[in-house]
Formats: sequence, C-alpha cells, structure tokens
Amino acid sequence: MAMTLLEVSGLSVSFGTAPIIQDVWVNFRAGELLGLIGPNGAGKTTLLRASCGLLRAAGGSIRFLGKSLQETGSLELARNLAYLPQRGDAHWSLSVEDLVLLGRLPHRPFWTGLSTNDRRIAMAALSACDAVHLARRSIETLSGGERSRVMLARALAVEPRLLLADEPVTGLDPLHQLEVMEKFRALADSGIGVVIVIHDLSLAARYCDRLVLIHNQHIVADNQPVKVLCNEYLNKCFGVRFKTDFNHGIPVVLPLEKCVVE
Amino acid sequence: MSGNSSDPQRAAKNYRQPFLFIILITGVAGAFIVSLLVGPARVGWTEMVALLSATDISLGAKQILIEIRMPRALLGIFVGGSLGLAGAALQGYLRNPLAEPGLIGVSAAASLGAVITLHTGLAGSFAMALPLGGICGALLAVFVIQILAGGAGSTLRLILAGIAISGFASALTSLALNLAPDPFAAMEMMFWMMGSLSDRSFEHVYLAGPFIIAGVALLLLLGRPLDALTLGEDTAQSLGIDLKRARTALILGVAMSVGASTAVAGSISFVGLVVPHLLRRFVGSRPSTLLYASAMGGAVLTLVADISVRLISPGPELKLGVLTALVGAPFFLVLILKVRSEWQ
Repeated sequence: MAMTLLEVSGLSVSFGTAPIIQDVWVNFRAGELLGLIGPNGAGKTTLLRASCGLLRAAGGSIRFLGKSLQETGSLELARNLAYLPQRGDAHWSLSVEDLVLLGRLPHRPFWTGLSTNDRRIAMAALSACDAVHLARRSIETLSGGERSRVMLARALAVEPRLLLADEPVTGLDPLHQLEVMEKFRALADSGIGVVIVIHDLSLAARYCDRLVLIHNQHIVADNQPVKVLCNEYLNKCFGVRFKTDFNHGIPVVLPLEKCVVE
Repeated sequence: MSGNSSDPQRAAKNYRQPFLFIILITGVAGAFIVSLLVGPARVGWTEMVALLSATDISLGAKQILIEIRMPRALLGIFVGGSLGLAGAALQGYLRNPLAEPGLIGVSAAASLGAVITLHTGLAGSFAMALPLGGICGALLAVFVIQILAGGAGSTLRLILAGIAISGFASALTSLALNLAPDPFAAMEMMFWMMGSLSDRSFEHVYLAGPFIIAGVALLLLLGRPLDALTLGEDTAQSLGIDLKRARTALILGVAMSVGASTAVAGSISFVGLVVPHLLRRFVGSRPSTLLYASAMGGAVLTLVADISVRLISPGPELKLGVLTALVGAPFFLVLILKVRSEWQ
C-alpha cells in the first residue's frame, strides 16, 4: 500500500453557522491520482482548501505525514504541498518565467535572491508542461490552455509531494483536457500524490486510481472508479441517470436524463 | 496584444532592469543636487563648490545651503520616497493599480491632526507642534483601522474602513475650517493643507525621519508577500505566506511613512498613484522590484516638482501639492481610460 501523505479525519468545516462539509474521512496517498467528484456545492473545493490549511476546521483533524498542520508549520507545508486554485490567474502581467519562479518562494530564505538551481527547477517544470517556448511571454498574452499549463508548471516548481488541483481541466478543449490528464497521470506514476476536483466523469474514470464522491457535505463513496460510478450512487447524488460503459476499453460515463430522487 | 517570444526581447528585458535602477539612482542624486542650487536667493554652484572645498564663504550663503535648502531637499527624498513606496505596496497588496497612499485614511487623519494644532493655536506655541499633531492623527488612524480591518479581515473591509476614516477626518477638518476664529487662521490651514516643502528645517527632518525610515523598512519587507499575492490570496497562503502579518506590516508601514510625510509636508497628491504605474512596465510587473523602483521614482518626481515650484513662481510660491495635483489629475484620467480599454 502506498504511503499516506495527508490524512483527513472527521473533518467538519462551516461558514458561519452553515456547515459545508461534515465528518469527512479521507486519505491522500503518494503515487495515486485521486478524483474528487460530486455536484456543485457539495463541498469539494472546501475539502481541498481545508486540506492545505486555507480554511479553519470546525472539527476533526488533518495530518500531513503524521503531523498536524500546526506541528508541520506553514513553511514546511508550503514546501511539500502545492495548491492549484480553480481558474487560477495572475493579477499582474508577469512574464511566464517569473510567474513559475514564484513556486520557488517557500524554498528561498527571504534575504536571498533566486539561485541558478531555482531557475533550473522552474525551467524543468515548464518543460514538463510543454511550455518552455512560452517562458518569455507575458502571462496575459496566453490562451486559456497555455495559461493552465503555466499555472500547473508554477505548482510543479514547488517540487511538491502532494498536489491539490481544483478543476484543472474545466474550460479546456478536448485536446488540452487529455494533455493535462496525461500530465497528472504521469505525475502520479512518478510518485507524487495528486488530488483533483473534476466534473468530467469519463475522464475521471479513465485516469484516476480512486474516486471520492461527495454529496450533501458527506463522502458517499470512496473506491475504484468502476465501483463509484454506478447508477446507484450517481442517481442519488447528481439527480441524473447515466449511461455507463466500463467493458469496452475506455470507460464512458454519459449523462442521459434527469431522474427523480426519492 | 502582441506576444512575441523572440530573443532580442529577452535581451532587452534583462538589460532594462539594472539600467532602470542606474537611471533612478542618478535621478535621485541629480535632483537632490539641483534642489540645493535652486532658489530665490542667488546662491548656486560657486557657493556650493566653495562650501564643499572648505573655502570661506559668507555666513548667509552657508545658511541658505545648509539650513534652508538641505532640509527641503532631504524632505523631498523622504516624502516622495514614502509616497511612491506606499503607493506601490498598496497597489500590490490590493492588486489594484488605482490604489494610492491616502487610501487607508492616514493622510486625511494626519492632515486633521495638523489642522487642529493650527485651529487651537497650539502650532504657534512651539515649532514642532504642527507636525507632532499630524503624527498623532496618523497614529490614531492606524489604531482605528487595525480595530476595523486588522487581522484576518478582507481587503474590501480595509478599503471601506479607509474610506470611512478619510471621510470622517475630512469632515472634521472642514469643521475646523468652518469654526476658524478669523479668516487669517482659515487661510493658514488651507495653505498648509495644499502641501509644501518650503520653510522646513532640520527639526522637521529629525521629527519625521525616524518614522519614515521605520515605515519604509517595513514596506520593503513586503516584497515576497506581494509577489506571491500576484497569484491570489489562496495560492499566496499555500506558498507559506502569512497574510495577516503582511497586512499588519502594510498598515503600520504606510501609516508611519505616509503619516509622518503628511505631518511635515501636508498632502501631496498623485505621486503615490502615478509613480508605481509609470514604472511597473519597466520592472516586468514584479511587485517586489516595483517597491524599490517606486521609492526612488517618487523621490525624483517630488524633488523635480519642488524645484519646478521654485522656478515657476517667483512671487507667491505655488504650493507643491497644487502642482502635483495639476499634473497628476490629467494623468489619472488617462490611466482610467487605459484601464477601461483593457477591460473591453
């Protein structure tokens, strides 16, 4: 069994008095590509943000490599865990290279500048995302697909052991969706733990090792894709009947029609 | 938008930055020296060279150079540097190119403090009463803004708190003007608020200097958080940045540097807004590098404006704040039009 990087136990998060997720138990493991699925507003993003310490938990605990986030410390966590927010964007028109180099911040003491090693790692991250040729461009001149690859390179420049990405393929064309999913697959195969929030269930089924289905603040299923993506769960959570086909090579999960949930 | 990734562009970008800082440092030094040479009294190069080579010069010329023009030039660097730096820091923190040093209310509060000393006649009792009143006003504003928007509050809350403090301080300033004992007192307050560096002594430098240096030091430490914030608050935090600490450093740094600047020089508008915006493109939009560039650019612009004021009007001196506003307001308009066209 692969090593557990992050362990979420009995986590609850609320905004004010409204609970967003309740009593969630889940493990993120090294070398595994995990897909978080569920309808809008189910709490996927909240789980991801709470996992990297961006939200305060109302209850339960989160442990990174066996230590609580507080024991780990924000800098140590930042060196090991990269977070890629939904529709991540840059507020100033930095060059792509400068933007990717921001991923090296947690590794640099504040009084030092960039080392050649930092630059080498940033270029390697760009190269891993097929974006070396963009290094000198300004971020605002890039297309959506190029931008998402650069943002991924920024996260990889952290050299994380665990990568949490919120809807990384949303809004991309089919080619870029495939490329980004292949990238996550390759990262997981290289030993990094990868957790993504994803709405495309066919892509999730095809590339992920494990799916966690969240509905109404709770985890409904946590298993291999083929076991999670059955109509018993899907009808209940999405209110939609799906056509699923796992038997002919590439899995297909196709929404068919609305269905009544009793 | 033309995204061209040819090599010459790359080379240009790498050479531009040391080049920019050489220009800025030369600019600060040059403007400082010119500031010592220009004035209504006929004291210029010859006297300056004589003073530096320890030759005997008249006591009058020496006094003009050292006691009148020197503090004025030094305050030009301190005040202009504070405004440029505070503008760059606030724009970086709020990720908004329209932010300016007065945004969190310290300028208005410092003005109010100074005007109160004029109103009560305290300013006449001892020389430093007026700037001390300004600094008290700024400190009070920090206290209030920390209560209203300190800690984990949102950036929107910081802006709204700043508007509230500015509005209230301006209202009280108007009240002080309204209730002025005689027209001369009202005029004195009006003139003071227009912002000027004339007739300032080394006492002003000694009073404001420590606050300004401490504030500037705090703001220069913000480079990393501001760079990280380019990617948004969540990503910045995930990169190990303590946003709460950055925010406190920002509020304290702006309050000390801009508060003390306003206390000794009155309100000088648009420097903090215009300078970061002008220089941003030359530093590849990096917020951390922009801090240093804007501090120097602010000093150059303020010194040049202060020199112009002396050259333009031999009679009743044009106030520095009036000149910066006259030049700055049209620039602001162009800025708004440009930002709008970028949105479309």
